[in-house]
Amino acid sequence: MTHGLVTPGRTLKERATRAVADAELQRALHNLDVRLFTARDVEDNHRALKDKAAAIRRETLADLDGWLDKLEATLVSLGVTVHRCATPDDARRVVLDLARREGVHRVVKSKSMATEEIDLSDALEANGMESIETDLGEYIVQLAGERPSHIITPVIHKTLPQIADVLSREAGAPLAVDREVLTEWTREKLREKFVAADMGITGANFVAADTGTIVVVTNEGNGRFCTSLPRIHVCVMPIEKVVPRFADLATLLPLLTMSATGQRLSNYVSMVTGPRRPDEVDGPEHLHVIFLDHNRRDLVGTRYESMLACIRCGACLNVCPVYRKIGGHAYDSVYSGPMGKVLTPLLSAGADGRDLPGASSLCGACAEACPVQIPLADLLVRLREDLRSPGPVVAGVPSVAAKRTRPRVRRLGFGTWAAAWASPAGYRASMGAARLGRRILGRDGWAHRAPGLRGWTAGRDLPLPAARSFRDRWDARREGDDQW
Amino acid sequence: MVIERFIAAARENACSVHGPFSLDAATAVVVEIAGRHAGEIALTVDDPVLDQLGLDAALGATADRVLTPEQADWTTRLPTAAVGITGSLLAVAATGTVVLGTNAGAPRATSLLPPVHICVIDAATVVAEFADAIARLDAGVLPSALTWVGGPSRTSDLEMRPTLGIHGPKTVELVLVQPDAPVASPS
Amino acid sequence: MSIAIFVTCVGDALFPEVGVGAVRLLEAAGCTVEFPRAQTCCGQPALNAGEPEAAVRLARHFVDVFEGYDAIVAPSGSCAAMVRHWYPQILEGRWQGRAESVAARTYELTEYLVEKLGRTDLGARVDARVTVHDACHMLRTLGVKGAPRRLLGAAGAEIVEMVEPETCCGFGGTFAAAHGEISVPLADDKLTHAAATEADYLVSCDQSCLMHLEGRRRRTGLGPRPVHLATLLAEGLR
Repeated sequence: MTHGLVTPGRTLKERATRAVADAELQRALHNLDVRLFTARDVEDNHRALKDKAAAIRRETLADLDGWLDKLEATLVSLGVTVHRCATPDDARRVVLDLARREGVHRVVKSKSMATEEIDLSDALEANGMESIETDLGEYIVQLAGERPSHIITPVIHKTLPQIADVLSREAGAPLAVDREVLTEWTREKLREKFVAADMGITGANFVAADTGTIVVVTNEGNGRFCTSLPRIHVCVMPIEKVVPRFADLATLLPLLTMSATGQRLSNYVSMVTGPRRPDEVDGPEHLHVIFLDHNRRDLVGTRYESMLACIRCGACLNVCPVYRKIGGHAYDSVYSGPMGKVLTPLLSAGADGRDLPGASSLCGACAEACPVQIPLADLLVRLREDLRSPGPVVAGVPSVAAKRTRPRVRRLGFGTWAAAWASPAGYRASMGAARLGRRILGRDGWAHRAPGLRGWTAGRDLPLPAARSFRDRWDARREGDDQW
Repeated sequence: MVIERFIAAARENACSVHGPFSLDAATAVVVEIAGRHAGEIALTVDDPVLDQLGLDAALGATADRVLTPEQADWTTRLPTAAVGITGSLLAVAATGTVVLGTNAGAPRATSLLPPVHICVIDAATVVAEFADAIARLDAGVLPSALTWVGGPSRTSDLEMRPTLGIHGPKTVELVLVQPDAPVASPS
Repeated sequence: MSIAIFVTCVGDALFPEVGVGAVRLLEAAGCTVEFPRAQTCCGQPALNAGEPEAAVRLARHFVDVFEGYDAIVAPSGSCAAMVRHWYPQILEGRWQGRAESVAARTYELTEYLVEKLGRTDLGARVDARVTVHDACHMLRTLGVKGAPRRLLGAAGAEIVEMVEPETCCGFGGTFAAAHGEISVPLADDKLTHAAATEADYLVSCDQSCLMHLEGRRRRTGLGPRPVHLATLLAEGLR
């Protein structure tokens, strides 16, 4: 039923190869180009806000458990039920037990990557409940039997005609390839679902420890429906979403929306502080908050702690040349793009996504775009190191079926190379050997094919060692050759 | 100055903005806008600004169409109402956003289910920056739900092009009230 | 003032004209340049492959070789960034102070010429239309963007900016070979954008990016000739 963070089997390389060859996908991905400079605008105009936000996130992570304790106490005082869940399985069980106990038939969900992470919709459906994604993009993805391909714009991988196809199948009649028509049809369809739902499930963009306020950001208003109409509201909150103070929202919230979509503030922000109060006529009677750990706490104090500062704005995806080329599904992970490459192996304790960190040119556009200054490219470099041996990524994290992806021979190869090149004689010897290759392979200094280097030569010619190396020429100059 | 900024930002967000008006003029405008739409009018009660407008009486001619939270069938009738009228706690000039607070007389769904949302704003509650609004809210008691509204419901999920009206109101009419404003007539 | 050139392993073995050009430009700027013969590689390929032990070994060698110089200049933004950004992180204990000291004195070529020496006109002449690719580590780790343009401009080159000059060309070291399915299309994008400028040269300051782009261009024929700034400017020295 559940498939964890990734589905097993194929490699990222195979999926990327297919994605690059998919003309319709390539067309769709270009729609993301409008977000290419969104993060740059934030950097240029709101640098102080970024520094402040990074400081707040650091402060939070420095005492994550303390802030969570404080938040729990505040929530309980408001009449909220708090569930601390160590694993996705625990979190699913809490929601399923609650839903059964309350006789829930229909669940409406607001876009939430945390619920994707724990496969909540599948779990609800498998237990006989109707679970409906209500963000337009998520709804289309759900109808298509897919997963979101971007944490902010889930259906960026589809063109409008493809979207019209998906909705037409559900409508049982062809809908025009027209944004207004498709929007209006979905509005009517989902309106019925909202009004008759027993349970609303949301994630949380932030939760303030001092006031217990849950913040849910949307543009469509589906988050408002999910937190206003059903009698039960369940908020699945990854533990790093806690912020110390309500006042911190002044910094974090605009930074999130500016980085995510370029909006000064998203169209709707719902701030939920406890369940409906006694004299109110709407709002949830019961509010449950799930603190989802899923190996997050183990990252505190490690070289990966800064990854917990992530506010899920998607800016790193929008600027990533690899993401823009292959789209989110090629990662086959709930979280894609640069942040997904880092987070997936960490959250799965090395069980999933071991080939993700390698699929980066380390260009650093992600780190530059990150509003909370996570050094994503550096973390990718570190992960390549920590993932080379089977087992957990971070010491102390239990390994779940860790896979061996890299033969020891490569480690040996790099070691031998470094040993040789740490001495001038070894360097000279290997350069001499390389120059032999020139005589065998090259006509004009470039080779079409080279043994063992198909990864390069499949698409490019390979440069061969020059007839005279720099040091040869330097020597010639010292001997008086002006032309060297 | 802050009012002008708010008006410009809200219009950028695809809101219709009216005023600022005196109390009487504002009342007339709200009644006029509500009257353009056939169907029931859901009205927030016990709101400091709306009470000053005397909307109960002003909507008198259409009293049978007015729905208020005290009515027993509020919940069943609201989903088909044409217009929702609310007040607001605060408004933010920099973002063109209004902040709605929930209480017994101001349910969450008044500004959510009807396709037209009329929001009355006391000009004195317009603050310059988002941070100012957070600071003001932080100083008081938070309602169980605060809703920040930046305009009509919108999505960019269809090839990243904005489309209005996916879930919430399709039209947001903001009416600014400035009790000491020079008498202005609805334009 | 002792100045050492670090020609990089790629520059030494595959593209010696880049190192030669760099030396000529530095000399045109009035520098006396030394070439420490014991130099090899900065270790970046190993670090990026997840083999920091091998990288540390080469980093220590680099520190040993270069720490006696006042300035270490490399015609490669990426190799200079390896030294500046990573050495202080991967070299520990008694090596750390030495790493920090060397890191603080290591420069990319155009950065050294323009930002350190304050020179732009070196007496070179480039009568051509050029477009500049901002190599990633030079741009984002070292923060160098204007220097190559100012040098080219002072030489009389007509600079035509391409679409997305700051987007990665797809090289990325071992990534280029391990993920050719992504790396090669990124090269195609870069070459397409460069071609649209109708420039004579696609100029950058990292020969590794240029070798990837030229390797691709030799298959497709698309785009202007990729050339290192040092090579192009040195050819134009009077």
